[in-house]
Amino acid sequence: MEDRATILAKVSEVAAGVLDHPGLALEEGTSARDVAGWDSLSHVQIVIGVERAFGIRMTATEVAQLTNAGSLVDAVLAHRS
Amino acid sequence: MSGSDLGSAFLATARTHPERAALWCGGETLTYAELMSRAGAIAQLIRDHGLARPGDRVAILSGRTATLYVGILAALLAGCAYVPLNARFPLSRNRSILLRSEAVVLIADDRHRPVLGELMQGASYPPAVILPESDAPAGLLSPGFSSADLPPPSAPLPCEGEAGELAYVFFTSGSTGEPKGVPIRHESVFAYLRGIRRVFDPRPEDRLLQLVDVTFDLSVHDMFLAWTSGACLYSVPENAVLLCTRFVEDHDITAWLSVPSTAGLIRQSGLLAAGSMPSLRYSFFCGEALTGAVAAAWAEAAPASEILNIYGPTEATIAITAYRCDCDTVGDMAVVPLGDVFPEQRMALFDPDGTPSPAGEQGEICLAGSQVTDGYWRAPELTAQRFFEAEGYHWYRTGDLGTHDPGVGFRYAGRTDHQVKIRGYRVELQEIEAVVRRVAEQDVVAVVPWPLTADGGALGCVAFVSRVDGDAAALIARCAEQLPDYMVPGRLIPIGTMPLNANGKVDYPALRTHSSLTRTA
Repeated sequence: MEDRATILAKVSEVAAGVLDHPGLALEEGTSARDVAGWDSLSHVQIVIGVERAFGIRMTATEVAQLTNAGSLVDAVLAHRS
Repeated sequence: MSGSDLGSAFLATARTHPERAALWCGGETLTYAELMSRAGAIAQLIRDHGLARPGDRVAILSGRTATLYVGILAALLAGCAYVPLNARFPLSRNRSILLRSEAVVLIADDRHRPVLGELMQGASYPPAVILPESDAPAGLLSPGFSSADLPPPSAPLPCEGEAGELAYVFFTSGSTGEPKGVPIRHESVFAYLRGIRRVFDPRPEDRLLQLVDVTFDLSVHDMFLAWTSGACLYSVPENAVLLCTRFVEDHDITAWLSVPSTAGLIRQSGLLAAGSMPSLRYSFFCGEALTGAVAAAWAEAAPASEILNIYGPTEATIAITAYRCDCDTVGDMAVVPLGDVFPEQRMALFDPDGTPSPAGEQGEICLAGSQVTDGYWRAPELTAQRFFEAEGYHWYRTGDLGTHDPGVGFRYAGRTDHQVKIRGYRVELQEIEAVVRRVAEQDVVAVVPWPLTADGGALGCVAFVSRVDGDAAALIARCAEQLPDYMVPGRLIPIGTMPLNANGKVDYPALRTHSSLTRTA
């Protein structure tokens, strides 16, 4: 299974694509308000992109509880284990 | 349904189905027995300490946790009318509602504990505060009670049948600059439930979505259709509107109610996939115009669902008409009709002079019957403006224009005034103008909805002023301290001389097509 850094890099790639923000490098503590253009719609698009990238599906409640990039990494790990 | 008030009706259901799930909220499931116990304990505390008498108002301020729903039921079980505060509103707005409702008790979650002092600032008789989530000693807020003060689970339930006349008082946008209170009787809610049960009679196996904020009376449909049927209410987590179709899928939700804007937003975002909600049996839309295009897309996403357009203002208790869509042909309609009025109620079209409109002609939609409130809360002048007696009935002027087609019932035809729907919320533009006038220190202010949506509503608004003294962003931020987010102007546009019409009034049609609105912000 991938480590956190690898997952985070992939999440960054997905977010960069959705936000049209080439080279975007998220940190574990990065939240939506830290990144220009990351609104509620792009947030959902990023989540769906991450789900597709890792072959997982989160519930609406799990998505609503995400607070930052690190919690998204946690969710990927939880669903892949 | 049994009981003469909502609290008693809930108790009757809880005793019939004690082990059935009543509420799913934030990952926690409460059975009817558990919900009854938790709400009953708070109601018992209220009674034991004489904090409220039947008919008094109890305010609730909570995020979307079980405390929110427990608090509402506790108020009702204590025989009181509940006054929900919106956790997203500015503190000043909630303070105004709290004071004007004359609430004697405030039930709050721990998250809002830090703001309670400021919330009650200026109150001559601050309400008693109950913090059911907190185990901190009482006395931090005077008078204050925590979970430590709640009677043990074995305590007897409060007496039934002693409720006051009112079930709730909801505050809606007011053209005077202050929200206006709409008091609704238990009798009116039961009349609504009888009306809506003609189209949807939930079974205990049903799972009803609870999406809208509890300050919006559509939530009363969600809660009390579920809790008089033995069904379970599923509360959508905060910040999950765009994912609520996934929530439907996650929990096999069988009944949906929202404003059409929610469905439109989900569809626009590419998140309304065909066949994605096979569990839905009934989908209700209310609060603004439902376009045929949105209804058709919804029918594809929820192929087993009836789709119903229901209509009615807060003053007439949730909704007063229903139109059942033909899912095969609804896509051909520009806008779905409102349908026919519930049999126990009255709906008619009146001309501006107060006479019934001639058959076949457009008029102002007026409503009468047991679902209609007697008048606004502590506002006799406003009541006199909006209510009138005719033909032996007490009528409410909705401000909506309509026509009647014997084939389909009533159709919506626009507004008579400055009330608009912004993101599905009812908004009096004059309320926004009053705030901008104060903040910007301008006499002449005109607010228009912008940008507009295909169904005649809007996503926001902009304010035209003669000039902007100071930093526009700072002025807008000050507006945000007084208005809900959907009412905060996105821009302050200095226009110099305000265009006026032939009657010397602000020329709103000219402003709506002003060149500044066609430029990108």
